Amino acid sequence: MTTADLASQPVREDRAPEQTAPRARSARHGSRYAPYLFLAPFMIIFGVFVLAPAAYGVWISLHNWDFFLPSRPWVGLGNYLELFDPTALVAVQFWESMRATGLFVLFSVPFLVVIPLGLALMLNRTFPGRTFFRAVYFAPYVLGVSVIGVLWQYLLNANAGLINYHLAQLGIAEAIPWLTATPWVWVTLVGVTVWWTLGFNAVVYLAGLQGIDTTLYEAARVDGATKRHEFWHVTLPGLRPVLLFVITITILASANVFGQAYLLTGGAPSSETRTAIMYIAQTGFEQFRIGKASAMSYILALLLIGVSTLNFLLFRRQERN
Amino acid sequence: MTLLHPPPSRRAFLGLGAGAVGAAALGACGAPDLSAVDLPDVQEGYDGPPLTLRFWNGLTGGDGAIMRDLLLEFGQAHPNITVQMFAMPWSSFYQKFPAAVVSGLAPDLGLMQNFHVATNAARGVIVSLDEVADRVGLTEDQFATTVWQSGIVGEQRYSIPLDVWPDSLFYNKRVLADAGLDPEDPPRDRASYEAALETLAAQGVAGHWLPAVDPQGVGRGFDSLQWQMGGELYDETGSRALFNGPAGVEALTWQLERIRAGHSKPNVNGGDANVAFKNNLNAFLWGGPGALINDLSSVEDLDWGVVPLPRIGDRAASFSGSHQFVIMRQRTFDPDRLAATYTFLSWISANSIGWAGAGPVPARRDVVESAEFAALPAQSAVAEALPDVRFYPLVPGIFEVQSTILYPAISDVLLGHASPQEALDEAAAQAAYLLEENRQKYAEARA
Repeated sequence: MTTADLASQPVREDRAPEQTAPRARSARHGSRYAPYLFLAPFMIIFGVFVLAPAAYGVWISLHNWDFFLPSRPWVGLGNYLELFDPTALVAVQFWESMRATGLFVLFSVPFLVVIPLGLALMLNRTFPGRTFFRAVYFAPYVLGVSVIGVLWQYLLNANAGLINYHLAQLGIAEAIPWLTATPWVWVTLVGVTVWWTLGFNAVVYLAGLQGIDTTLYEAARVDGATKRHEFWHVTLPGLRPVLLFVITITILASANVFGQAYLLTGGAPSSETRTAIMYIAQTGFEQFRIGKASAMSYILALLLIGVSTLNFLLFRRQERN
Repeated sequence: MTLLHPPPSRRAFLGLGAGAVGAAALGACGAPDLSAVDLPDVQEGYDGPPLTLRFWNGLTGGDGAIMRDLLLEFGQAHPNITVQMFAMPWSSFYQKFPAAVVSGLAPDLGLMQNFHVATNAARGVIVSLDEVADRVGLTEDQFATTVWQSGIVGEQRYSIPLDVWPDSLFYNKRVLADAGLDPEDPPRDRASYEAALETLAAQGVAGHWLPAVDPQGVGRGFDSLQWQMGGELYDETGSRALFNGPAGVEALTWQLERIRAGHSKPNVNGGDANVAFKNNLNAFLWGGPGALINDLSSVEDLDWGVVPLPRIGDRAASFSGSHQFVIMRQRTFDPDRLAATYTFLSWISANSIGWAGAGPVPARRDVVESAEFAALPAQSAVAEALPDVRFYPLVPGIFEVQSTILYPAISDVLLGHASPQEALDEAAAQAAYLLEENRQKYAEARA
């Protein structure tokens, strides 16, 4: 919507020049449909692969739906109401999985916001081998989730894993159940995710840092600012838009956690680490209760839209202050 | 260019988009057709022009290579029929082939695990084979009864069994010998099994690594044990879970005791037991011959043997699965392709000795009794369990109840987070909910 608004803006503003020099106008601006033509390739893909399935999903969520059965009884809001009925099994399990997702967001986002920032500050200095280290920290991000899942499953295996083997050599005799008991499962999931994705956030910060006007630092130094002052009063305010982007994108990415938990813990212990997306996939694609799974997806999506909006509003209010 | 018309308003633009989306959505929701299928009559054998049958299955391991060899052999015997095989992981297979059938792109035939047959029969994506079995010349007396019955759902046959793979006891001879136990005489009952584990434990060897978390499903050992103790997983109609009865609790308690007594390490994950076995750190492994015979044979210097599961309860019983051939529903059946399919099914059933090399026991009795089969020592040992094999009940949706409700509960107990009675009771309550929902869903589908 906003894209369409922005695109149509210049056309309206340029009405006056158009009357005096119509040829120049048409040469410069082309058809009034031009913006839409430019948008079309994206809109077609977006429409076919995002909008249409999303709308179809609403329709599905109002039925007791199974792809492969001809009878798909209409249940109205039944699927949604059931998710808010505390006596229904599916509701209990769904909110349990939402809790797991929530915990993961809570545990992982602070690390994923702070550690890459520190890393970016270090990598922004001039020192020999800087490019090498930038590549090293970014490298894990290139790996697919299946690769890191299998890799860490081997490393963290309680009885036959390399990490417990080395810990034993260091004198920690008790095998740590990294993948099967709380709180270790959370340490594992958060640790692996931070290791895996910190490179991405660090690169975004790095770009932000390079966009901060160096004269601001010089001015601060002239005023006698220490390094700490510089960080709080120049770097951080300069990074505000980048920070907003990083926090929003990290919350969304963490809320969509699936692969790590699916491959590493399989939801164990109990359903402690069975995340919302995992439960939705299980309900929809293993048990083929697609209607229920769609309803769950919409609740999750609405919650995430809510969280992101809140995030934007908070940052905007701070900006005004 | 003039500006007689303003650019399309935002509302019109959005309206257009919403309209397109709505039309696309409604167009996409055609429901599949589940009406009864009459297979056309076809001639005996196929001698027409060359054609290619499409055959989907989940044989992605060493078993896939053996199936491909068999297909080549079939091609030599029947040069005008080529069977083209597509293998994908079983979990993808069960998601993809129904979609292929519904969208009119069905393969000609497939191989599936018996506990998925009832579900897919209820979905109408595979067709009834009552007449086909006659046509192919297969009758009950050629098969072990339980195996033959496992292809029948609601008095109609939907699949033709190829093999049986009962869980069996694999034992590491070197570990047993090192502990002073007879490597040629593995324990076969509860007393001797526990005594052997005690002897091993006294020497610091955990003899029965019991997986507590396993993506392949942690509960087959439990299934076998509760049958041995006289239990049942579900009632006959599949409307109620019975695994929280005394037999189930006793079975799970016995497993838990193995961990508490040091017969198993705690928190054993997926393939740990297997890795430990191959490294001579584990004496006993419970598992299926289809996966293990080839897997263990491929390890150099590993000295192992296999016998049916020990009798821990008061009767013998082993969880078993069976690979079964199914014919996929087509929009229209081509008599030529059907004739070729029958030719293939008849050939592979008669030649299933070749399939025994993959590990499982062929379903055909005459093949199991043949001299060629007797020459396969591991498979022959596994086949001793045939009279005592148990299958999941033939209820639509049963596998999801096992894998998403019962197995996680067992995992919970073996990880030490819940007591057997408590976890099984909760799972039974959850299962009741899903069983009822499945019952309604599939009943409506057939109505």
